[in-house]
Amino acid sequence: MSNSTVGLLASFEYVDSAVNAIGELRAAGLKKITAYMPYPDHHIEEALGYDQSPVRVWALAGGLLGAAGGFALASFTSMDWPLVTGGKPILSMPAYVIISFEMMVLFGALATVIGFFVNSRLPYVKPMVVYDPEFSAGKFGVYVTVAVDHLDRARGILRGQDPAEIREDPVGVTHAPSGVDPGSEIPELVGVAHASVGVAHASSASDSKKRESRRILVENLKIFGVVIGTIGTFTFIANAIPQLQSEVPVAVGENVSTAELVVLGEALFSGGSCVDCHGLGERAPNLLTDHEGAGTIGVRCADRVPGQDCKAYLYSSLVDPAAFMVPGFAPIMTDQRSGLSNAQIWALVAYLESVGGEATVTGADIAETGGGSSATAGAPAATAAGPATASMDPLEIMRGNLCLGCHVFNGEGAPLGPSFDGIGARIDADYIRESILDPAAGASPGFETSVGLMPPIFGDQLTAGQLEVVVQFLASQR
Amino acid sequence: MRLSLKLVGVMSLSALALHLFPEVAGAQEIAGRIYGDFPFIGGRVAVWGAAQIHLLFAAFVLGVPMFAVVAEAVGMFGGDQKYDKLAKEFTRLLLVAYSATAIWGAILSFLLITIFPNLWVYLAEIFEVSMWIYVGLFFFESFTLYLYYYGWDRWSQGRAKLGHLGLGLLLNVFGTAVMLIANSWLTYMMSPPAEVTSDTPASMIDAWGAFANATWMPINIHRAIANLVFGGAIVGAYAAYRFLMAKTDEERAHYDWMGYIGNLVAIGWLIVLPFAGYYLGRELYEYSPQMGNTLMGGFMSWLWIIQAYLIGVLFLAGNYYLWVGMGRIPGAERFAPYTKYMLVVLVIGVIVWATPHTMIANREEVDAMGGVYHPFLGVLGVMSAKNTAVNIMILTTFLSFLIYGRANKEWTVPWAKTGTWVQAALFVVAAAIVMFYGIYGYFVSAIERVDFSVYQVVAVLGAIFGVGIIHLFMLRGAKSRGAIRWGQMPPRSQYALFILAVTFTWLMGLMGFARSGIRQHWHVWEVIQDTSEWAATPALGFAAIVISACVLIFFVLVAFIFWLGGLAEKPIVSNVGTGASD
Amino acid sequence: MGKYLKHPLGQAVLVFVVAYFLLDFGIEYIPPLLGWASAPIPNSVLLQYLITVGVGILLWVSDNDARWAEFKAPMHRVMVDPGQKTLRNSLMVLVPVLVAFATFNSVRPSVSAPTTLRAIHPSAPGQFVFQGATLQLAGLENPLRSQGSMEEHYEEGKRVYYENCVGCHGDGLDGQGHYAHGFNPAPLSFQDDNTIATLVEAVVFWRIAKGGPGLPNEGAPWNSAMPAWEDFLTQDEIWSVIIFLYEQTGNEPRTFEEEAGGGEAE
Repeated sequence: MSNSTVGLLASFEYVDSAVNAIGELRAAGLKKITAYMPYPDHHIEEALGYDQSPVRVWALAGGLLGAAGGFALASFTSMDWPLVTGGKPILSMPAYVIISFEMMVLFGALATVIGFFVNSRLPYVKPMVVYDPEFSAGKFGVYVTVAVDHLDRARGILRGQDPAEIREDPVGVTHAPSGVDPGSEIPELVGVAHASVGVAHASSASDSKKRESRRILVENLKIFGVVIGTIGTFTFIANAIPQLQSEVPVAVGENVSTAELVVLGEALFSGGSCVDCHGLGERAPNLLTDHEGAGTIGVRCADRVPGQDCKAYLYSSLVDPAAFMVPGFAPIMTDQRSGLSNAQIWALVAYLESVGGEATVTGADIAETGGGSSATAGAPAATAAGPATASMDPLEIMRGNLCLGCHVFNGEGAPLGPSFDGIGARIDADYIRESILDPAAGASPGFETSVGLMPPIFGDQLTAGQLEVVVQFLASQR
Repeated sequence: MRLSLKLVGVMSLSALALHLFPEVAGAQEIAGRIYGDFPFIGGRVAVWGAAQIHLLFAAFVLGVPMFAVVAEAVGMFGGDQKYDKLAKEFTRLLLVAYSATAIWGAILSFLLITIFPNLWVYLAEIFEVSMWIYVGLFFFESFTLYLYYYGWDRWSQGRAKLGHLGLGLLLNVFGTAVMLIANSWLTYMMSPPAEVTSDTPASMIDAWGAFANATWMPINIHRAIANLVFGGAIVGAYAAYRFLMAKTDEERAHYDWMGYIGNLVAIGWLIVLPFAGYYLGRELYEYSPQMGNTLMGGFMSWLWIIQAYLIGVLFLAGNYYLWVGMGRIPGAERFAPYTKYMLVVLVIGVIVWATPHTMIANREEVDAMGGVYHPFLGVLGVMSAKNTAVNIMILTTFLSFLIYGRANKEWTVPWAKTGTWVQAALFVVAAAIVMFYGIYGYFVSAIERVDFSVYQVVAVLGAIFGVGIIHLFMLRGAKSRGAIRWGQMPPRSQYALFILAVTFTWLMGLMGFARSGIRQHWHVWEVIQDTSEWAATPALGFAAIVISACVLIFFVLVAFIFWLGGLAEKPIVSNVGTGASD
Repeated sequence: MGKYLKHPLGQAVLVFVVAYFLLDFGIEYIPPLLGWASAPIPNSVLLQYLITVGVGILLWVSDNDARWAEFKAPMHRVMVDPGQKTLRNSLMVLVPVLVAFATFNSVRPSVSAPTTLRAIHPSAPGQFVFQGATLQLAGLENPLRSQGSMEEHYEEGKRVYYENCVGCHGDGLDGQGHYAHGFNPAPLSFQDDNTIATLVEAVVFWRIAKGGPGLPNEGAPWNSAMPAWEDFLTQDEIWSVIIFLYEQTGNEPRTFEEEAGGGEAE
């Protein structure tokens, strides 16, 4: 079979002639046809065997991407800045529908336009070799490339439709742009362009080279995809499981620097339960902000107790809070040594000193008060459980055991729990006794969310006699 | 009087000057900083990345000479020239990768000096002699490598060829020596001798004791085998790439064969790698139970689940490649129905191996389980089950190799049938021993159970050895059912080789993180503490990102380097034509 | 029906469905039929297993060219065959909806506590402070085993246990104490052969003495409610309760010399 090809260009006056010519040529197996039309005509497209336009795929893909992107944008920004507005959930789907719709339209439209240009292979810069201005004026052109063997056959078919003119082109003329024969089975997205612009197909010479480089490109992309996919899968799995990081235990020895202690103290303060009371300034004075014009805690501490410098004052506030009460606050703070190690206490002192002042805590202070192993995981000092006071007077018992730190009685105390005023009218002695010994057993009306807040230590802390005295006293408050 | 007063004045002035400005009198004391920094990614990540990429290249340039020399020897003594050409092609890859290894080693050294100068000074003082020897060995290694490659065609016959092979062996000796020295430094950081404490000055530390520390030899063994595995995997990926890009059938045939050899080396040595790794773990645990516990039961425990999946991928991909490859071996059709049973065994093995003891469960699931451990699946979460699983998977993989090897053979030895029965019996017995000790291990104390793993290993290795010997003897005079149709492989199999190479690389990165991470906040375990801002050991997710970046950089560089090497390449002449029967 | 089962795609689907039922329900209900305890399988583990099975199925259908082509054929037909238009269109609607639903479910904030990963085996420090004195962990032996009568130590340990530990760790030393269900993490069962059986006595001593507050920083937060018993018990009392735990459960403590071993549990 000869490799050389010949091009035949026929010009028709009537669209039917062109359509028939194309149909017969294709039936004869001569499928390398380019049609030129002065206006878009679907008969010729059908004759050329075109399928539906692939641009619709672009539109669909763009639309779906846009919709998903819109949802994703709105959802992830909501998750990053979770604001409760009007009691609505953080992820409020109805609102996102609007954004998604707009994104769908936007991306869909953009994708359609891009797809149109891509599929039409515009802008088309190479000059069209086989073109005659009369094809824009009213004539229909049919250009077919055939092997030399089939030349007569093709010529006969074209003549049979009564063309205005037939021309024979030289061998090897390149149609442009290259791509897939419109008659092939599988419509390739990149190969098929709209018939009104110019159908694409290539001659055999440059075909294989382009196919080869295309194959190499596709193959490289596949390999790249496999490599990236594998690496991505492993990274995703490792990130999908809950993460565990190993922190550095900070051993607080003699040589710990003040700066390190300040850092430790800050971590303890902000990460611990100090802010539960010292945060809002209601239960306890706010330490990090100005209080009654006296400045932050680092400034206030030196002047609180005459004779006690800042460091000593802060230390005593942590281990013996009732020794000095800031006016206007109740004595509800406990000795922090029950939950913090010695080193941790000093770290907090250092940090609080530094808020407005200068930290002066050193390792020597820590060693003096009992040493410390780890300031981040310390053993709490033992606090002996026992009666806080030996008195048998109910009010003294209540004050000594800090009941009034959470309950109000006769104008004293803080309203964190149910008030003792008239309590005997609401509940009986047995219930009062149970509430003291096992506070988490039930909730008082209005304090359901506070279940578990009252420490269950009073059974140990009070003697049996003291407990009875308090119970009877409260039961008598009507 | 005035003169003496002047003198006194001058003397007292100068004394004053000396007092106020001491540096005038003597040289300035250089007070070095303890830590430097690196822009954007931080010092720790910079050193981590440089070390990891250097290690990846080093593993390649140490592993490839081992099997290149073997290939050359096979070509010499077996008479088949194509093995010699294959060895030369391997060596060409090696040559171009060698300078990359050295470059990354230099990058690592400079980063260590600038970011961790204090640690560097400490290590340099202890290991100064070994460092000099290390650098000196590079001379020998480089020259040997150049002589080996460029002298290939010149010294290709007779005695000269033997000398050339000797050069190859020497190359391996130098390369291994280099690795041994470098291993001593990093293992010292993990397991310094017990008598070294934080107060011991570097000058008082016994250099040999520091050099040959507790984990040095286990790491040497583990890395030597892993280098072979890694080298084979990268070569396999290279061959897969060239196969997919090949334009002619001859090229395809050549690279198909090369890929098979790469896979054979990689998976073959992978079979023994778990034992070396387990040995390393045991030595680590013996050195410091605390470190061993961090590694296996502490915060790094989930790393081993990821590792189980990675190795599962390796076994599955390696076996898959062999099974797909059987499609091009005439006579292999009779074995095709059995591959699905082997696949079932492998899948069950991966499932068992990857079952965590500490499961990711939310509160309701924990309540339903009655605790943090699953009452039934928890049994699979312990080493006894996992050792059993991996041993069975190893036996299955070896069976795949065996089937692949005998697919197109027709035995002519009279005892062939008996031989096959004996091979089958060896497999069954080994599997039975493995299962027995695996289950029995649950009923004995921890110490005994740990020793059972040794019995399992011995059984498997014994079976492999026995079956292999019988196979070799049966090959005598065996007839071929048809030549292997090299080149007729579907692209899927080549993707499997890519997945193999990428997974091996990623696994190396993960194991590097494990080994370094168990030191936690110590530069030198319990001797020099890490007081930098990066002292905390990162979680798996962050480590995965760094590892992935290293793997990507490595592959980009390797692709470029191999492309460079191919610029001077001559076109492929058919090395693997008809008659190839492996 | 038989025609579908002979087709690779049909077989693949069947294997996957069977595997799902075996894993999700089989693991929960079959072992009790054989006398072993079991529980529902956590979702994360089920996902792991199913993905592995899926990969295995994929490998099986693709290792043979003929089978691979046959496997892909129906899916290809759905994609391109004009006759399958309805199925294709409905899939095009259904798949994004399912993906959206799955995504929404996974990111939706819920009231249950976030799943955390705890390292079950905290690493013991090299040394720790017990009631003011520094103890070295390596080589720390239970002194009561080499003095006095084991009977007495056992009785003493029993007393200590029932006065202090029974509330959480239970009457049967199985972590089913009265308060046990309220804690997360739950109190450990000593009957299990993965708890005290894998530890040396020195580590058990460390755990009892330092309790929850003494747990190391890695893997924090522990949220362990275990008290630090050094504040309430003497050294001998702790050693004796250790003896009681081992004797009562029949477990043997690990010994130091032969601790060579690549870790027991994960």
